[in-house]
Amino acid sequence: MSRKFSDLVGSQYEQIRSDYCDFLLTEEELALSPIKNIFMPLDYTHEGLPQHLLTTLHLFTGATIHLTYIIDTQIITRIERILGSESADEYTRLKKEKAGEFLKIGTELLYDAGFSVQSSIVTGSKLDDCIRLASDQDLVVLSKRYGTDTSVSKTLSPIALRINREIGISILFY
Amino acid sequence: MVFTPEIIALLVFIVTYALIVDERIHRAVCAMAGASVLILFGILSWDQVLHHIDFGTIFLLMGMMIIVNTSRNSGLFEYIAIITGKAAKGNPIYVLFLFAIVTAVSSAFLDNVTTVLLMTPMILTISRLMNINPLPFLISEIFASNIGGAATLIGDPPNIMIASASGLGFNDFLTVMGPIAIVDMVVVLIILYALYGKELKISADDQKTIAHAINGLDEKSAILDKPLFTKSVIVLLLVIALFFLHSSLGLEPAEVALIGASILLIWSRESPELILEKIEWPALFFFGGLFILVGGLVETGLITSIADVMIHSVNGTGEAMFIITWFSAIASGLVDNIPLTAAMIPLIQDLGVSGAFDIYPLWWALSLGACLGGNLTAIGASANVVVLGIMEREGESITFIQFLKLGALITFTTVTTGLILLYIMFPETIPIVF
Repeated sequence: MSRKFSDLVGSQYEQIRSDYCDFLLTEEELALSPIKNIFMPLDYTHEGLPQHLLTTLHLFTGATIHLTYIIDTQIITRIERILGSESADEYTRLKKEKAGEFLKIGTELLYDAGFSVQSSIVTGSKLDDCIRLASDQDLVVLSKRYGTDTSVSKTLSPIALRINREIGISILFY
Repeated sequence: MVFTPEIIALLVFIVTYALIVDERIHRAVCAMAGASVLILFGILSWDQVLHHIDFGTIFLLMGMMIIVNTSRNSGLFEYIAIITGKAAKGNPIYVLFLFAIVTAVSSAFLDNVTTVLLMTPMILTISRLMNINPLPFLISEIFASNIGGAATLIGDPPNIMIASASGLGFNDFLTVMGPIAIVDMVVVLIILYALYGKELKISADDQKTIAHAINGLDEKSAILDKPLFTKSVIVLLLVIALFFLHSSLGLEPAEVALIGASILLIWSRESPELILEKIEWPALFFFGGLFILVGGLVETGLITSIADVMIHSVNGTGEAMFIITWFSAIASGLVDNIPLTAAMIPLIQDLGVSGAFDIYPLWWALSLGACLGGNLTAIGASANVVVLGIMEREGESITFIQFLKLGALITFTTVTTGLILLYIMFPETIPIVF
C-alpha cells in the first residue's frame, strides 16, 4: 500500500499537509479545553471586560461563563443601622439596578464572543460567597481590583489575594 | 509452439498486465515496455501505433491536469474543505454526509486523487477534534469519490476513454450516469449511517464546542493568491459550461480541456515550467502504452474472436449489459480499471459491428462496472490507495479484509442499483429471464 501510495502521489501529500499547516489547528489546539465552567465575580470596581481578557478566554471556547455580581451585605447592614431600613432598601435597589446594567453589558460582550453566559446577582460576602460559588467551577476569572476601594492599584486587592490563597482552583486575574 | 502474431500480442498483453498488477515495476514502465515489444516484433506498424493511441483521452487528461494544478496553487480546494467543515456545525453525521457529498461533486469534475488528497487532511483534523475514529469519514470519502467520478465524462479515466472511443458527449454521461451516481450516493449514505450512526453521536455540548473550534478556522487564510483564486473559479466554471455545450459547439472534450488550460495559463501568468512539471506524465505514458498494447490485440484479430464468442453465447443486449457490468466491476476491484477499460472498448465496438447488440447501453454498462468496481477492494481505485495510504501515515488503519467486507457490500448494492436503473432507462434491453 505504501509503495502504491508513493507511486500515485509522490510528494504531493507532504506539500498539501504543509500548506494546510498554515491555517489548520495544531495538535495542542486540537485538544479540547477541559474548562467547561468559568466563574466570573464582579463588583462595583468592575470597569468592563478588557479585550486582552476576551482573547485569552477564547482558549476556553465552549465553556459556560457564570457572571455574578456580588453586593456586599456588610455595607447594607451598616446603612440600615445608621440611616434606617428605608435607606438600606433604596441602596440595595440602586445597587441591583447598577449590577443589572453591568451584567447586561458583560453578557452581551461574552455572548458575541461565542460563549454561553449565565448571569446572577448575589447579596452576601465578597470573599466567602465568591469561594462558595466557585467551588463547583473549573476556573475563576477575577479582576485584580475586586473587593477593593476605587483607588487605582495594579497589585492584587486584599480580597483577591485571599481568594487566591483559599480557593482550590485556578484563577485568571485581569 | 508457433509464435503467431496473435499469440505474441496475447502473451505480451498478459505478461504486461501481470506486471502492472504485481506493481514492482511502475505501471507506466510496464505499459511502455509491452508496447515496445509489440513494435519490435512488428505486430504493429508505426502508422497503426499512431492510429491506436487515443489522443482524445490523453489530451483531455493533460488539459484537466493543467487546470487543476494551476487552481491548486490558489488554495481553492482548501477553501472548499474549510467551508464544508464549518457547514457541518460540529455534528459528526453532517461531517460524514457533507464531506461525502462535496467529495462526490468534486470528483465528478476533478480527478479523484486530487479531490481526496485535498479533503483528507481536513477530515482528519475535524475527526480528531471530535475525538471520533476518522475511519467512517475516510471510507465514505473513498466511496463518494468513486461514485462521483462515475457521474460525468471527466470524472474518471474509464469514462474519458469510453467517451473518446464512443463519441458520447458530456451531457450523455450526465443524463445517464448522473442520476445513477445520485441514487447510489443516497444508498451509500444510508448504508454508512446504518453502520456508523451510533459511533457518530456526541453530546450537544461537545457539538457546540467543536463547532466553535472549527468556526475559528479562517477559510480566507487558505486563499494563498486571491487573483489566482478568482481566475481559477472563473475558468473552472467556464470549462464546465463548455463541457455542457461542447456537442452543440462542435468541440471535442479534449479541446475544451486544452482551451481551459490555455486560458488559465495565459491569464494567471503562472510559470508554465512549474505547472507542466506537475502534469502526471507517467500516467499519460501509461495510457499511451496501454492503447498500443490493446491495439496489438485488435490488429491481430483477438478482440474480434472474443467478440465472436460473446455474440454466439450471449442472448441479447440486456444479458451483455449484465455480463459487462459485473465482469468489469469485479475485475476493476482486483486490477487496474484503466487497462480493463482499454481492452473492453474494442470488444464493445466489435459487438456493435456485428449488429447483434445495441451498443449504446453497453457503454454505460462498462462505465458503471469500471467506475463503481473500484470500491470493491482497498486497491480497486487510486482514491482508495491514496486515502488508505494517508490513514497509514497518520496512524490509522483498516485491513484488506475489513475493507473488502465493506467494499463488497457497497459495490454489490451500488452496481445492482445502477444496473436496475440502466434497465429502467433502456427497457427494451431487459432480458427475458427477468
